[in-house]
Amino acid sequence: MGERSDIPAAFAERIAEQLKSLPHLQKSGAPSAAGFSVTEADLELLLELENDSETIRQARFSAPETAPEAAILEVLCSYAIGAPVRELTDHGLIFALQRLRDPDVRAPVKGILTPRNAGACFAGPLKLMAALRREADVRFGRHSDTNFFDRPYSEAWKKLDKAGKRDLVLPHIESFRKAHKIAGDAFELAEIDQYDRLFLVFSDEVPVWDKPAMLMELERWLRQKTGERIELFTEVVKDANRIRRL
Amino acid sequence: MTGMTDHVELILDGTKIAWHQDRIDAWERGERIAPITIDMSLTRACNYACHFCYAMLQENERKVIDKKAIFEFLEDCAEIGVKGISFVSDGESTISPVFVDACKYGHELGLSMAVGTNGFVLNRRKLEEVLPSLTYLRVNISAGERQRYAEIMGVKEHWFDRVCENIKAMGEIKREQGLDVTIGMQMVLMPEYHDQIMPLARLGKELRPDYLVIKHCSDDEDGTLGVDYGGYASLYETLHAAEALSDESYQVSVKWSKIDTEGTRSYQRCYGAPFMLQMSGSGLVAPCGMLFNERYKKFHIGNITEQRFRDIFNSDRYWEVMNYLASPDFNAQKMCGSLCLQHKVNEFLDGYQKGEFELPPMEGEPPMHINFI
Repeated sequence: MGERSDIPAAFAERIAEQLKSLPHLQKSGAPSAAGFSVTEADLELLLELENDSETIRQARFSAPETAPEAAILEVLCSYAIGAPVRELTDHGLIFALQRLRDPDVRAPVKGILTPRNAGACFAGPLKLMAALRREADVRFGRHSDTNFFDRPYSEAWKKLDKAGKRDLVLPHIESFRKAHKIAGDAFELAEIDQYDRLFLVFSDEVPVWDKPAMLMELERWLRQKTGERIELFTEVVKDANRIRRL
Repeated sequence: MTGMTDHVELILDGTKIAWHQDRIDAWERGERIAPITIDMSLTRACNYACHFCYAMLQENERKVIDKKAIFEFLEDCAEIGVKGISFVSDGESTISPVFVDACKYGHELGLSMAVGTNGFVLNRRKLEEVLPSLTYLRVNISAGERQRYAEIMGVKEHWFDRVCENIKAMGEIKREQGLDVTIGMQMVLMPEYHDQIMPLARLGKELRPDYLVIKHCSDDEDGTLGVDYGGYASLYETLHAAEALSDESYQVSVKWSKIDTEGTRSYQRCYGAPFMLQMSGSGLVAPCGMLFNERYKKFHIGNITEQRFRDIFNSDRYWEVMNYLASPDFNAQKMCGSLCLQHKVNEFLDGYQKGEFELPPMEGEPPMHINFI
């Protein structure tokens, strides 16, 4: 990968790390069980579908092993398994962007980061996804319904009761406090609701404009530590208007 | 899905985002783009108590937007490239002491200005002063009969008469002064207000605004207002009958594209907020109205009563929040209420970002109100 200079700094480290492990790389000469494949230049994606459905059972790719595109396709293949093809084409690349980006390094753009502006190493995978979309349209017809595919929580999380979920996240909240030198009484976890949303209550000591960034940072921390798409909220404030009422 | 409608003179159901391709190109390059449109209010307060009001769900720490704050805000908007500002959002801007000055100053700065109001305090004198500065003025009126108006909008019956007089005056002033402003009426339709669709459409024909738009009611992700989205389908015949009352100078339009979706979203990421920002009457800058409540504190960016808007816009925090909405961290289908202001813009940008279509060539005369996307 050393010879490629088109990898933005924000992706360099994680791409290098990912290239050390490419379990979905199709070894040359290995038999392919693919029922579906698309090619773009030297990149290829091979998908095996579950019976007659659109759900991807297995995904493999071929690409030059040291190229950053191999790391991107590896992440795409991991994401694809268990998802419908349309989910891969709709959201696979923005998932890869997030997975391969180091949030502590400045993003390659100052505005909104998308696969189209994330750097030249995303150009090939973008074309590959476009080819996959065209191929899927031919095979399944163009969808007129909505893609609601979503996987926010693991099966392990779903099996936990409220107390179990609380026990899981509290140590990570504590480690966040310590790592950021935040007072023990600055905030507390008040509730985990029926939709698994976590509600925090802040003490009056925390300055108003420290809260938003702290919440977002803590949420990122909890997602990283638990692997779950944790959502953080603070308590609802009721309408202060004196004449209208729900 | 492009979300674009056929090119008509007055687009009431669709988005005009495709007419701003320079801004889309800059967004695509990853530049920090200024919003084309900002929807905001000058206050959180309101003199009405509408049954359907989404502002009941938007409470946040109240601050007062005074003349200095709003003037500096408008100057910053003009400087960074905002094109249109609508005073709608989560409060009744006309009861703010800075309302008239803000409309006039924004207009002087070259911004397109617009207002959504219950129309109660806008007497002829105020209207004569403010209408020349506006692109459109839209009156929220969700009933066509006095008693039902009072019930639905939480006010006394005779307030209905005064609002009707004011709407009539708006049209008269527009014609007398030859103004370019568009006068509208808007019905926020809950299925249980079905009996008021035709009376209101007929009332509009009598009062002669330029249009009446009938739209769905938004709700939060928990369904707090209890909007029965399945209930709209049984009203389609009545809604078509209302549209049939349109004539040469009075357009009745239903926002079919939103009503048809039954409150669902076709997209998961929100790309629209950088193009179309919403701000609370408390001065709070948050990406959209559905995230105003203190509960969504993690999305709150700044407050124009405490900090210059240009600094808020240029801050990393602003772009951190906008990037969050565009990332897999966020799923608008699960984390948002229904049918937000940015909905049509989101549909368009999501489809474009996924490569479902190329930017359509925009030819001919641009539509009216192009800066309100």
